[in-house]
Amino acid sequence: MSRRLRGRWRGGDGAAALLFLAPGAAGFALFYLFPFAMGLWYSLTDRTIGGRFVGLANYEALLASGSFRKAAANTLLFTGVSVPILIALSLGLALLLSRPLFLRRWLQTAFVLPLVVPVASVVAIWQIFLDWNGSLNAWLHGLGYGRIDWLQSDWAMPTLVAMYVWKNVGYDMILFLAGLLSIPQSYYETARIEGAGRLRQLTHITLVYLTPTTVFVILISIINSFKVFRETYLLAGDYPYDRIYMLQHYMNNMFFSLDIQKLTSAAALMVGCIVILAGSLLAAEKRFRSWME
Amino acid sequence: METICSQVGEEMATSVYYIGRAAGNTERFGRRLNIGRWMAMKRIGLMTALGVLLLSVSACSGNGGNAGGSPSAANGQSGSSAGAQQTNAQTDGKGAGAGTKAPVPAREEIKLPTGPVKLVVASFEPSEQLKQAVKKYEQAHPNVTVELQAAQSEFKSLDSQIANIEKYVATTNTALLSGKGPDVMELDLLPREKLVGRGLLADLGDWMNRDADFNKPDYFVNLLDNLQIAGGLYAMPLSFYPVALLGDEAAIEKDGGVQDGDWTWDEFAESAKRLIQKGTHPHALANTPDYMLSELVGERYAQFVDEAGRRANFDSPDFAGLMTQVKQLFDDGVVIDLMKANFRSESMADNPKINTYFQSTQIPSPMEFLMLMDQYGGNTRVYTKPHAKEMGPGGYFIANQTMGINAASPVKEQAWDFLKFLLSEQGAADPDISLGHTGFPISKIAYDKEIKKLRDEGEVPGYKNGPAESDPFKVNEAHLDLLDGIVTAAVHPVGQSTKIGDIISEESKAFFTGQKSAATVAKLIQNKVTTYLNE
Repeated sequence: MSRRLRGRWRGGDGAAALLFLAPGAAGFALFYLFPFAMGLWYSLTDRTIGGRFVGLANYEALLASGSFRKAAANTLLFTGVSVPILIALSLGLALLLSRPLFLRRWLQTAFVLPLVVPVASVVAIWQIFLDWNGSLNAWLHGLGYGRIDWLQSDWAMPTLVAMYVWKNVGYDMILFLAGLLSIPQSYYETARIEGAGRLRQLTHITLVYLTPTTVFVILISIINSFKVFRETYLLAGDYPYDRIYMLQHYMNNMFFSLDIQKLTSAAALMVGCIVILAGSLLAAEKRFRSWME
Repeated sequence: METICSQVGEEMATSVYYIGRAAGNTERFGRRLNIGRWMAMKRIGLMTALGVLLLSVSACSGNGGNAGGSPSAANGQSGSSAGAQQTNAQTDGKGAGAGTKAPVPAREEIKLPTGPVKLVVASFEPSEQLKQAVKKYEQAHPNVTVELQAAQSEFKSLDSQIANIEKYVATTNTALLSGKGPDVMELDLLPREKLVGRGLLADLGDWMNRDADFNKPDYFVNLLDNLQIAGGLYAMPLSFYPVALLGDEAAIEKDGGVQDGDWTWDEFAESAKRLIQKGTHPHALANTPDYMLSELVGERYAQFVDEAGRRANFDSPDFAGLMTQVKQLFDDGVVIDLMKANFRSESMADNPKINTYFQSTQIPSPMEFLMLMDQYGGNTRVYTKPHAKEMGPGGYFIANQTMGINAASPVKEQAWDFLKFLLSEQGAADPDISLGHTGFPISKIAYDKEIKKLRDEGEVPGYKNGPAESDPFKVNEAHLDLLDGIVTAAVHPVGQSTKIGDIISEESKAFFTGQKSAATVAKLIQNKVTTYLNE
């Protein structure tokens, strides 16, 4: 392996690759790596200019903040609940739409549509829909039920999950469809000949060979679950109902109260968690691949 | 004028945009707009409407032979959680100034750089006054170039306004945090306490003490001393509005009088109920319920918020009781809801300009004070504003256009000199500038000049400015004496919005419109304030 690599280097491919990678790497460094490194440094000092190194004091203050703990718990809960729901739904849809079905193309398009609608319009519609005096409550009222304050009660989290699923289900479905297409039909034929039922085919062929896709979809969905903040913020403001007060609310508010120390420590912790999560997912996938071979 | 007024009156709550445009037409309107605009930024919900209201009411009063009419009723931002704000300042400032106060430095002449200097001045939307002042300062100091940075050049719509404010606050904060940013900046929209807590603003009190050229008694020290944050003066207002409670003395005395010496809002409500039973006027005051609620909370702030212990107590029966009490006042008609009022109406029932015993007012200028005192058939009296018992005596004021100096500015001497110039510029009584003049000047000399002019002339000349015009009227010298008393006794700053006050007034609206129960709203407020306190 290493000899082969050295050989490639000598051949000059590596240098060329580096050259082509450089612009991307520079951009990444400039806009992500470097600011993040500065953020890390800020999180260890007591002020932004001429700051003194204070070790982990900022992290201590951060963890002492009740609102931060609440935000972290909410974010975890939201991701933990919404991602599995989303995966299950989009996989189901993908399985359904991978076989000939009436209006299949139209349905596929319909599910992807939420992705291409601008956030501002999406928010406006949700606002009209979910408001205390909005359409949904009008319908409930018409049906003889009481009104529900969707974003200001314990319904806020389910509402958010619904919004998230609605927005992302199409995208995940497309990814799964692509994954399904890459499974050779011959596997199914062999299984059928050997007398495997539908369920067995699903659990032993489809799900198994879909694993690389699934890992990727899970990662993307987790990342997207953090992005629900944008809609939440636009719908419910900087201090929403405390069930949907997320880490990004906390960070955003810290920015506006000029507490860069807490902001950067919170960001560092969050990045740390994401790295661990992504790392373990990718490691699991790698192990799976080697097992397949 | 009449058409503008009527539209303003009717579409008050929704036509901010329209008014902005219409009002922009005249200079006279223009300066009112400043207040309206400023307030709209501060507390977007209630404040917008109140600001517009203030704008419309005051704009419509000074005109067409209505010298006795008044910029009235609009409660402005008087008294918003005054207690809240004090406590805030104390806690936020902790660790910044406390205990590090140096002994008073010897007074000296501030040496200004002689080479070319570039001074950056930032304002969200520079007033005409500021622009003029910059020009004059540059003329007086040829080596200095002043760059006036603005985040917005004109009021377009409420949405773009809000977006611009957010951008202005975010960019200025970021610049300051990274040791850059303007040398002098308007602080009205910026988080003053937080900036001070981070040591990003220069203590202007030090400069006032150091500069041999700055004669403190020439300024309203009673105001400056009470605007301190963490033991220093970091935000210098260029002008202020005294806040007063005016009442129809004849009617009040006829209907049993009031004990206004040291009354709380509770006691005010009691007296008000008694008064309206006699019924010379159908209502006692005009206000909005959510605003009144935040005033009442401000009065007993410590009971509801424990900032040090990071605890809120809004889910208590006390708070629900307070909400119910306020709602009752409005339901019983003791207080008339500004949002439902009709300022054009001839009928007593729904026009707060003519039908309330009291008006809580921010006074825009000495001349307008004279007009205010002329209402109620000349029977107007200044009453003490209801306040918490522990508040202490003294009047109320709103600081306007506060300016600060960047602690990291390399040209602080010049920045201070410019600020000093702005303060005195107010006093230059330049006709160009005083036209765009908002509020009372901080310079006592300038104020005295204005009063002397009124006394000497003995008459306020009628004027015509675009569609606005007024008849001349006689100056009542006793009223000017009264005004002297008001401005020198003003010690309680009010009207700075706080996050908690905003949350209370925003959430309580649903209760006052009867859409949610007191308990639900109290729980929501509790929920959000707790989050805020524990960040």
